[in-house]
Amino acid sequence: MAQFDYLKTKDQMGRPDSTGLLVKKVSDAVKIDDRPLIVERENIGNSWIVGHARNGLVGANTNTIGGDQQVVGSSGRVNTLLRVVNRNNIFYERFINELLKSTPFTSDWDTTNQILKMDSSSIHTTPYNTIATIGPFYKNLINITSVQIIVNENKWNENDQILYYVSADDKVNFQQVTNNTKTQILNIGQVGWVKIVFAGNGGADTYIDELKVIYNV
Amino acid sequence: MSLLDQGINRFRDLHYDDMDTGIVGTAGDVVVSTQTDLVSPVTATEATLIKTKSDKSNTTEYKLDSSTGLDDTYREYATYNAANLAFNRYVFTGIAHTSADEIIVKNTWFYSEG
Repeated sequence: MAQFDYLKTKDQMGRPDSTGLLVKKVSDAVKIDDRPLIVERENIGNSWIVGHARNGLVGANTNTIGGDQQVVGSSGRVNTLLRVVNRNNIFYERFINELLKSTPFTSDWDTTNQILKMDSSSIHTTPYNTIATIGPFYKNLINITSVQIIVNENKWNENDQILYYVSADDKVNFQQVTNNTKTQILNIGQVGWVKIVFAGNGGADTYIDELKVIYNV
Repeated sequence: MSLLDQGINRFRDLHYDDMDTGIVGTAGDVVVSTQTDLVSPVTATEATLIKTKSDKSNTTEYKLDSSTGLDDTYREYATYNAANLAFNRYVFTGIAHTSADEIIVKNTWFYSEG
């Protein structure tokens, strides 16, 4: 009855209905991120490589790069990380792959769920104290002067602790930083690392799902 | 939120299929989003990418072998499709390349709801 009265009232106003159904336009966007870029050098050692001027020779050979007999395969290869750079000096770690998982490491890097967990266990009667070393998030022969870490934390219990440390001098010195706070680097250097310490009973239910590091060089 | 994971992964697949090669170059000019190519590409260094696909992400690996593009110092890298369209461009402090080594460039691509 109420609706009828309303319609009747509108009709009595004698003008067309100028209103319509408003549908909020939902904007869908796929964000593409291509960070980080990692550059490595692999010394070929004494590997036998077809067509190579020195490491492609067969038979008596004292002219290899290593000066040793050539061996088919990967003898003497050494891989060195040269550069890690990020667009706009912002590093993202989303735990998709383990390219920058480093040591010491006792927490749980879960690539299936793309999270970094305090521990793989969901038992909450056990106290955990674990560590994650991530990096280098930056390596490019230019000094880092400040960093800001931004992390999405998920805690099983509010008493669980997640502590953050940063090194700019290739893990020689770490300094504690606060989530979402810009911090000046005390020991300036050219190779940046992040260390995360978990403490508490959360285990697999205390985790971070994205690590963002904004740095100045 | 309205995009489904499978929808995002469809974009990942299309991009995965389209990415084709990597090239390094010698110029360290600052990256500008309106650029369409490397500033000083060394075309001989073009190499097919090794691609890996995982949930909402792709990883590409480019390898410059020990017989190609020797004695240059490289400062930039870009990912291309088969039609030579550059998807990205990165710059870094110069890296010398000799017959004693291979240069490997790894790039992680992540797709998410914007």
